[in-house]
Amino acid sequence: MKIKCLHGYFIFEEQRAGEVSDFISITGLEIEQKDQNFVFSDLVDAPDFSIQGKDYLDLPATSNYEGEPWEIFEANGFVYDYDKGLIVAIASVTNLVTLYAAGNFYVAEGLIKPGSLNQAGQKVKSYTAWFSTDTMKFKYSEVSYV
Amino acid sequence: MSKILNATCDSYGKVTAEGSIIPGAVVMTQGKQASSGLAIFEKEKVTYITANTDDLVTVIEKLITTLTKAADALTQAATGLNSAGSGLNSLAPGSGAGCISAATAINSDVSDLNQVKTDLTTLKGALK
Repeated sequence: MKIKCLHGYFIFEEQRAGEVSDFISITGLEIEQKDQNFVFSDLVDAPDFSIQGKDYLDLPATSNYEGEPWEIFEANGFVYDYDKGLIVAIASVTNLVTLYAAGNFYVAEGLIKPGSLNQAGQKVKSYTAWFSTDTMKFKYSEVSYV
Repeated sequence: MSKILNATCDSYGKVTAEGSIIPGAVVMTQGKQASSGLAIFEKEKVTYITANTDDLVTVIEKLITTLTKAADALTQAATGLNSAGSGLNSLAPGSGAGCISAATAINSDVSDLNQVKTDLTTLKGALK
């Protein structure tokens, strides 16, 4: 399963038939189909615009913005916290993550929460991850920071 | 890609859509009265355009009035210059040529203004 975290918005791309069901069974994370891919169930109806001061999903938007959900997340400083099942401000995320180099990838414990701080104190903004249903582990590439 | 929402604008220029005031929305009309229209979101920019033609018609009517006054004033000026030119010519042939030439140029400008007035009147009538 390929997972793209774009400014705290997640897109899951099934690499083989049945992979989504396996992923849900293994991780307990609720994802459902949106267009060609899958997203967290809480984000299926994420609007394509935000109005400053008006709630965007769970939080008052800080900006007027129109675009893809991840663009709106970025414009408003939002990320999705899959544990809480809520949109949160990236500034409020205090999780720590340690990324270990492993060949052409990085490995870390679990699915990195966007906004997590690495060893250098940088906040994770986006990444591409790969989940193996065989090893039940995540490996990461293209990690970017705020 | 743009997002277009039904919106309203009050007489202070505050734009409301989806039950919320949209801070920073740019109002694209001269109207000072309340109106209904569209809020157009383009990335971080929000523009409001009225769908209420009343205030557009008001603006056009004001323009026509202003242009009429300007045309009338210029026509009077041209008439005066023509008279002055004729008077000068009667005293000394050719001495009034400058005035008459200026009057001719002014009359040409008045024709242009009258054409603009006609075009605006047509536009006003076409607004639904």
